[in-house]
Amino acid sequence: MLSRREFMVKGVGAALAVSASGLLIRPPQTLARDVIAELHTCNGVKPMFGVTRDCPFSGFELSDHKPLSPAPVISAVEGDVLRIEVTNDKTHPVGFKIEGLGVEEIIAPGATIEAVVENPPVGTYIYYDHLGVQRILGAHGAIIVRPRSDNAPLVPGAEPVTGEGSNTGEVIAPPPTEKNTDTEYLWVFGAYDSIWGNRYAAGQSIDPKTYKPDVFTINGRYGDGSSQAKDTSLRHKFGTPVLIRMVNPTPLYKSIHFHAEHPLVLDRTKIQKQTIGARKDVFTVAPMEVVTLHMNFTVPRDGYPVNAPAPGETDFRYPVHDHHELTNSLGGGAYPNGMLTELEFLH
Amino acid sequence: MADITSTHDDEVGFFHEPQAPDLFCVATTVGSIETPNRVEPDVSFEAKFFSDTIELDGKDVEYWTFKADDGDRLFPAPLRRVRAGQVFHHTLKPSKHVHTLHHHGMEPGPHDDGVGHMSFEVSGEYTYQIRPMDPGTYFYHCHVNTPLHFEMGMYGGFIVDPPSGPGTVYGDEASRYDVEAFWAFGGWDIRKHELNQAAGFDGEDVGLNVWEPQYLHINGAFGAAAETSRRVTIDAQTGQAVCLRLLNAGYSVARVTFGGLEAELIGSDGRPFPTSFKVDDWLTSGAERYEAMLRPTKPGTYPITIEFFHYITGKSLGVVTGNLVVTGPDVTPPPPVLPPVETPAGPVVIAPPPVREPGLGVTRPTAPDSPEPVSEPAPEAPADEPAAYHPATTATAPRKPVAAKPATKPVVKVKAKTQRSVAREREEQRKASLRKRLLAKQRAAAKRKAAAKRKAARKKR
Repeated sequence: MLSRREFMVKGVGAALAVSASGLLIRPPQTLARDVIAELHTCNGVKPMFGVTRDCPFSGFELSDHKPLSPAPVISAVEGDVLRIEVTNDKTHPVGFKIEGLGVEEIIAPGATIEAVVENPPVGTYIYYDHLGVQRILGAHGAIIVRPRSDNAPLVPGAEPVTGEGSNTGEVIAPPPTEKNTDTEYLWVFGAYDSIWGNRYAAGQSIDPKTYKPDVFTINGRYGDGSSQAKDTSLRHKFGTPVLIRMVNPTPLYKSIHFHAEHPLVLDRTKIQKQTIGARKDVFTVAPMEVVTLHMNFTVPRDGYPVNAPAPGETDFRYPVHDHHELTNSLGGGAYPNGMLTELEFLH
Repeated sequence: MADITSTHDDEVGFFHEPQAPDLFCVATTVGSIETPNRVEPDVSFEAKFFSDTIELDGKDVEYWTFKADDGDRLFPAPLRRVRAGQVFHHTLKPSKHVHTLHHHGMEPGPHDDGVGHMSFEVSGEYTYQIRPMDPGTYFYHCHVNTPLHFEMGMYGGFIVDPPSGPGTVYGDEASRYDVEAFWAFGGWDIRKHELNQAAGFDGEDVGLNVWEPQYLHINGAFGAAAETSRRVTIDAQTGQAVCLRLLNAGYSVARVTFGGLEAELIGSDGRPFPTSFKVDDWLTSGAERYEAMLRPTKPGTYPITIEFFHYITGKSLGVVTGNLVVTGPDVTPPPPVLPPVETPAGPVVIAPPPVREPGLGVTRPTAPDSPEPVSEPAPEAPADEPAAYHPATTATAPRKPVAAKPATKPVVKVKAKTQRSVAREREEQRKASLRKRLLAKQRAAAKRKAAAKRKAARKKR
């Protein structure tokens, strides 16, 4: 895993403006530039291990033609020009919409459009195919726009970080910036209906009223996949400041529960805005909402008499999962093989 | 134009690639083991598994939960209470099956966190040892095959008082209360109440991905019974501060209204809010807890409603209502400015333990008769799409997400491209890139030449 700070130190020349990963790597940002993303519509298949069917999906891919759902992460810096070229390789029209950035287009089969957004504001955005049920079938992704200055808050208007316990209400750190945040994560949630996916793959019609998701994912993975992947699982030393962007393009409300931590709500875009600045262990994420959290990997407060791993002890792990527990299943059973991940405290 | 490389990070794998070869997280089951670093506790509880039935619409519906060794067989499991800083023991006796106790919101070591697939499941006996440091509202539940075991009723409330004891939520004046109540509200999808404890473990489809409850309850009082149940009804006097601790024990969002009273939400999930705020209603999701302070000044019955919404369609699943019954004189302070109303002095009434009570089942389903949704899907939701925009959201959410406020507005242009224009543009980009590289080469050569010339001149001198 490469933290953004490490990335900067190593001075990798090529900017990773588009990646399939939710672990966010920051491109060099000294000068405004054109961020070019060339996307193609695509279909793919997600295997459902232990279940006698797979789950085809609709997504976007880069020119390497590896089908992705969620679609590639597009990363830019304030002041850049976003140039997103979308080619419809399907035989039916598709849509392309960026929520909050004013882009909404329909693309005919075989056609290409270029969406240009000059000076996109700092934030996290959802892009997706807004026609029919394509978004629910998997055609969605995220765009991150970061501030140009290393010292500017990653979330505009964010309040300083306050403590808990005896430090409740006290400012313990300034608002998270590029400089004082070690690592960022992007979690894009998914809720796929494998019956729908198979009907879509077979060219059959889909009745929207029949939606019954049975594959629940974070960044496209579930179960052990999302628990172990480096872009979803959180494994850090005590005191590591981490920022997490939770993006929910599904039609389902999520209720994300952190064991052993009470992260701080930095920002949310739709509901419960009064809770910005609060520490919680459960976070409601409404459909099409982005909720941004900050956590410091603080020592779990309630263990007694030992509340930290001994030197060399590695198994100090806890789950993070949706407390709308039905999403912890796969294919209607197989708990815990839904959208869950892990946080681990490293000594 | 900057040279941007579109790159996959192969290190992290992709959606379509095989995941970990061992799909199923395998939980370790232990019989009876000793608690690591066991100390003498300040408080001890027992949680013994039992199953029973409750009659709903004339049908006996099975549920599973916990009780103390000599306690009554009640659903939900007993309300627990300690003070911040006290060490408590909670001894699990799962009977013939495997279970755990997760103390939700508390932060113990992994051994005592009670997550079956992360640590161990208990088949014999295990004593969880925790010292909660933060006052607030918590709960405990079984974390084995959770979609099923939690739904079946294996949970109970847990209150951590400040060191000073009951009377305030967080130990400060702002959270002082005279009367306290704990409401755990949820719903039962009774199709799941016929499954066995390990249903779905081997991968078969037993419907764990669906939650469509036919019956809603507050503290185990279903439907209309909640309106009169002693487990639910809160008795208070005018001028008193009532702290209603709320726990959404369902698998979808539920909106709470406060009978026309303004509720001050002072904290959530075991932590106080930096600034409390007042609401007429509040949308909660599964496992969230809130402390709502109600300060009635007029006598009367205030119906506090809980309305659950379908997890996909957003349609109402029905409403379950509990009552706040307020007696005493009208102490509404006359506007505009008068001295604040004194809170009557007297003993604090804390959340009572539930008692056995007949007739908590319902004689009619909780779900409304009308199949119509409480609100129409948002206008921006495509007609042929499932309720991608939840009515519950649209009621409170702006039409468009509030993005970061830019100093200058983004300029957006979208243009259609033909395949030919795309090819032409790429060719132009390629040529431009070549020109750029050529230019850079020429400049470098010129630089080298100039440097050599200077060197030669220096040598000559």
